[in-house]
Amino acid sequence: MKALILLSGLGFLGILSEILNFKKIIYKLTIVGLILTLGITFLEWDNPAPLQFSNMVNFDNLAISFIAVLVLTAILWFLTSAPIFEDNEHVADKTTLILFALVGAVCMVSYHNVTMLFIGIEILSICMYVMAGSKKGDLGSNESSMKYFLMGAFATGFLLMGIAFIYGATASFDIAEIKMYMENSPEHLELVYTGILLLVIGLSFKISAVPFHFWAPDVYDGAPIQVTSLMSTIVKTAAIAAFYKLFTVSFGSQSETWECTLSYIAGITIILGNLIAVFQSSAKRMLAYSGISHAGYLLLAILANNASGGNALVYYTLAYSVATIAAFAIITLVLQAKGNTNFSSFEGLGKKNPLLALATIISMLSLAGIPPFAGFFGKYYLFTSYLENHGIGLVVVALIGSAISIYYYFRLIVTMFKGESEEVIPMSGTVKLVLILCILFTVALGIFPDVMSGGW
Amino acid sequence: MGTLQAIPLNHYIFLSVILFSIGVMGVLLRRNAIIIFMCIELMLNAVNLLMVAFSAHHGDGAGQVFVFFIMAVAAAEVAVGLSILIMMHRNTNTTDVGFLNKLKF
Repeated sequence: MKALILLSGLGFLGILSEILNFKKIIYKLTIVGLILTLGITFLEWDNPAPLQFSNMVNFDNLAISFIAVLVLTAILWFLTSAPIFEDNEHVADKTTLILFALVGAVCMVSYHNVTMLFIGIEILSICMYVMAGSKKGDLGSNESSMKYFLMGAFATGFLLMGIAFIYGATASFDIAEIKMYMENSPEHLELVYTGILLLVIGLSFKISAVPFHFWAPDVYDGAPIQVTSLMSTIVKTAAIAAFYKLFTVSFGSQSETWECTLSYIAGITIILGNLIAVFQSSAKRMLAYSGISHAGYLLLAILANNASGGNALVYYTLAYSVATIAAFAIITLVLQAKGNTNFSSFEGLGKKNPLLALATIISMLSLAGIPPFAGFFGKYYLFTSYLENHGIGLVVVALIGSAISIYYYFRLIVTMFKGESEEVIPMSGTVKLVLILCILFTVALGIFPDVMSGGW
Repeated sequence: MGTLQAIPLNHYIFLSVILFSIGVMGVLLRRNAIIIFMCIELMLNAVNLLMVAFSAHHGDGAGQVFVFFIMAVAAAEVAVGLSILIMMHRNTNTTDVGFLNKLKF
């Protein structure tokens, strides 16, 4: 709860910095504030009274872990994204929007009432619509924010219709009360089934699962690269956490109604996301499709429908976010030096830029799920949690998907060592720091995976 | 309250589902961004109607409170959406979403 209040306070500080004219230091202030928030979040571990604000939010250990993942990702993101905060005119607006997006994400991982879920999604989305269009003169950015807005609002319509039907059946928005209703031989099953189906559609839009993924590549491609990095880490983590919580807590006992649909969605997402990523010529768009396929893997945790699925989700989102932040930091550096993100721009960069090359290798191997890096154990935990009460079919599909993904992740690594280039990519101190942190994190999480899984 | 209950709940469900479907079809078929906005509003208002009907049916106030949240959020969403539209109009001189085709692989 303290994290929610602190982040909102930081957001207001961002607005005040515009009025009271201290926006030169707001960027540094934000990073300090976020580190403080991360520390205070951990103090709330094993909270004796997790339900707060008249049962609207629930800060249990799972929620706290997700908040820690989100805030940590945000710190790394802020450190890599200094370029978009250099433009002095809009620095306060951008900082504020990102901080409020983070507030929305925290609401989404800690809600205990569907109202909070809806408000969290909207706070996050509205900030992200604006951020996607923050390059006002650029047609790609315009298109990205327009598409994101239209698809986001459309998906919200489905989500709300789903909530309305569930409310019609259960007469409550509280997820524990919905759970009780579902467990005690529910009446009005037609309303419940329609509601669950509409919620699956709405939330699949938000996590960009196939067949509701068509907006994602365009939006990720057109938005400024730092915003893309934010969308594929924080937004995805928050959306999948919200999805997990709603379906395992409220509809866990009704799993036979949504399991089949969601299994197909997960399988198609994994295969299609990976297959299309193979044919991309731009690294940014390749990561957009890889993000879609990762949404498919994450759905396995929801299908697992047990507590170890939640733990696997925390581990996976952490490993994925750190590797993705590093990958986007690398692409940003190449974009600044070469002007585009095509694979050809990466040729030969590995020879003169050792840190860049090492960070690329480790983040790509982690995303591909190669041991001993964090991504491997993320996938391992996801699959074992799924196998606890399911057959092996979908895991085989996921493994085939991983095999395909190795091709395009390795392609980037191979490109970096192919061809001749004497170019040295200039790198600021903070970006170096973030890359080193991401490398250490990915390796450490991979070597000591029990550090994360033993905690709860 | 009395008149609301005189009409069976089914009628409200049918009406809002029809309104919702009209909204969905509008979003899928129309090409003008402003019309698409209006169709999304129609979808949200169908939800509002359904929420209020269920709320009255159950005699529970939470549904009506939720409707207020939906209205407030829809207003914020439209404010952002229209400003994105203006930004797009400045750059392309059109509100036709068919113009948004720069990003393809």
